[in-house]
Amino acid sequence: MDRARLGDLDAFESIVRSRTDAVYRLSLAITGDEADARDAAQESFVAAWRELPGLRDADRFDAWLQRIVVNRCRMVIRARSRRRVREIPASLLPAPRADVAAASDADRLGAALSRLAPDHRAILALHHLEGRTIDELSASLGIPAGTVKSRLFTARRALDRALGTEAEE
Amino acid sequence: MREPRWDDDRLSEAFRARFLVSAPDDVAPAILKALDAPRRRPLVLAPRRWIGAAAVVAALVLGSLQLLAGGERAPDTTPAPSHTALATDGPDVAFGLPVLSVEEAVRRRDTALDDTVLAVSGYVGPVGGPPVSCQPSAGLTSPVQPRCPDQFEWLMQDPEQLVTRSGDSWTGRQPSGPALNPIVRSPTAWALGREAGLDPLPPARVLVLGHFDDHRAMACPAAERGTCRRQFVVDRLVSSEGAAVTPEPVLDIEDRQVVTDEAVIRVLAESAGRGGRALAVGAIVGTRIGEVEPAAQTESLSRAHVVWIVKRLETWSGRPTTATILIPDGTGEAFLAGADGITALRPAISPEPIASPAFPAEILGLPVISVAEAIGRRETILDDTEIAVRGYFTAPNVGVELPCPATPADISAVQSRCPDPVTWMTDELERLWTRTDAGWESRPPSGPALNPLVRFDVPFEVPNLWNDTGPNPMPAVVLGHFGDRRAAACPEPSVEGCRRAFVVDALVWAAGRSTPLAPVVRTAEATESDDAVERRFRKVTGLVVEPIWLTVVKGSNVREIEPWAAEQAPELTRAGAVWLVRVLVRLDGDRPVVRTGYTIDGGGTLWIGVDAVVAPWGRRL
Repeated sequence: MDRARLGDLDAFESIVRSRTDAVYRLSLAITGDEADARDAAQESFVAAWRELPGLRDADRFDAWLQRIVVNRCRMVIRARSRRRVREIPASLLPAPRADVAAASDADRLGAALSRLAPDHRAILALHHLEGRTIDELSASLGIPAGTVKSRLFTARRALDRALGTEAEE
Repeated sequence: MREPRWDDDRLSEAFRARFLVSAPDDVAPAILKALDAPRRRPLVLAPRRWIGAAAVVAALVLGSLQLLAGGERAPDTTPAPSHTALATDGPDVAFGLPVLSVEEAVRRRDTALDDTVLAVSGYVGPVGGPPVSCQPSAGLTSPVQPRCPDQFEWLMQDPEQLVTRSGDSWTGRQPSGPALNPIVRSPTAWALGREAGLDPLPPARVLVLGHFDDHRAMACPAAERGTCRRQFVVDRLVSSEGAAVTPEPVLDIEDRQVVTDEAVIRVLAESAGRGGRALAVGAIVGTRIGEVEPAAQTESLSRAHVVWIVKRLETWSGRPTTATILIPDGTGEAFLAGADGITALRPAISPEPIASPAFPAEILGLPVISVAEAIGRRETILDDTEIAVRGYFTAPNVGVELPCPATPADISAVQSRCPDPVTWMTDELERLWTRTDAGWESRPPSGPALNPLVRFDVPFEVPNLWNDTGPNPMPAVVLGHFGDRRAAACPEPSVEGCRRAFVVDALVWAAGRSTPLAPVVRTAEATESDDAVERRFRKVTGLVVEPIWLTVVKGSNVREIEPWAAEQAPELTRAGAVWLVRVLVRLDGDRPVVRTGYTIDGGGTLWIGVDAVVAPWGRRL
């Protein structure tokens, strides 16, 4: 890590290789789109490389990187509205009614997440996918722990509503 | 059978099943390829990055290269140059300043040391060769104290090749002619645009603005102050190899987001105090402001999440000088940095237009026209054609006592209401508000102007730059139209006024950059994502149109947006949340118009408004 902070790109490349999967899956959970997840992952690492010298505490690299990923995902999602052609993965289209009972929890979750705001998706993914605690989320998102709890509660409520809607469709 | 509850365990398991995947094989290579571009940056740039990071450096040091170091060439050891010709084939004036040779700049330093800004033409080298290694610079008190690798880079009178390579070894030397070590610090960008590797290249021909006797020399230890005053501090790289350089802002803000756009910062800095022209713009985390301006570590700046730094060229006591303007992000406050601390500035209240920003010529396929052209169009063809209008946007701030009556109830969305009469798009930059003993007063613009109707259901997010000196007009491009069909629902005496109103559909460009047509969320009741609504719109209509932008409001808001919608589709007003879907389409051949659809959150029907009718999509009107 120290070598990477000093501008050693080879050292940073090894960091990239060890974290590509984690960054990609977090991006996928937030954006819900494979192409967007690729873009967000790539932009996150490029931003991290550029900003790495400013990272004061190397021990906080992963939390810092997650924060970059969340921000990049937000930007990618915002940019969607300007895109002329959108790829919509079939997995995110609402499931036909007859399939609801048979749909797996994973599919239902994917469809329900697509109804949520990006910030809700991000905090839920960090908590339930990455297993981040309240304190860790506070560090990752740069917000007080109390705010994390509040946001997590709100996001969870929105997800419950979306899951309910999903099942009723 | 009742479905099991979605508790944390079930949710986490579903997350893992859905998203615990490996990245596709081509993701990591694509990332590494993207990272490879910075790796190939010119080696002469690399030390600047290391300085910015206050870092120790990597790589090897070759003993022979140390010959390069040794500080600036003193004039008494500088051989007489064979000529003093400029190293540029370009104009002999830059930013209104006569272009000097390096020798002339050195002479100026040695005969009349002051902080006059000089335009200097010369050659920068070495370019390429082995990376320079530096030890951490400890105990520095001023940004203008020379530090490694400053002493390895030269601004020279002549294109001297300072490093040569023979196999795996390099030989370096100092310049034989007049030369300076250029000091480049934030916010000045230093991009020579040369691809360089281990093989040394010829020096880069440059034109720079810079000065000696920087005010930050006073922060150097007393014993070094004389040396600090003699440093040539670069304010701007004007050109490299004859090509003009447009500097990128130097952002050292870690992972923080800025509120105010760079272009706005330029306008603010150029108008504050004595005024002048921005040469370089950067930003740094507030707690680190002392790294750039040692005397600026005040509470108000240190606690700012980001502070913008602008180097401005101005005239002071009849001399061209640079001022450093510090602007806490998102505040509109401006401070002048000096050796003794900071001085609060107030942006000038002046009707004189400031340098016009580079408005785009076209946005979303629409030509961008001026306010005067928009008015001309209204006076000749009053229809609802969508137009993109550029100008300066000025709006009163919340909390200011408005010089217009309160909005009556049940007024149409396209009827003028307070603060519309004091909200302006103007062709020229005009400051319309002044503070008097009685409070704030506004005046109408003197040039072409419109009162845009900006309602709460359109994307229109501008930085709030109102401060105690009034609002700073925002260079902006907005999408909008005259002849709104809802004008027909205005009270009879107001119908014509409603038709002539300029109704804004979106802010699409502000202060130097495009603004996304991001969803506008005006209620927490919505459960659908904007993506889901957009998919539903496309599925229902079968339309393949771009752009689409969305707003979600409370159902109870629908009546004030469109009374016809409330009357003809009352279920909209009873819904918790209603989405407005706006699309830019082409009618009558190629006439662009914006059409608005309404759909209940989580519902399936899409209502479209045409003339005075609001009906479900597909119903024959």
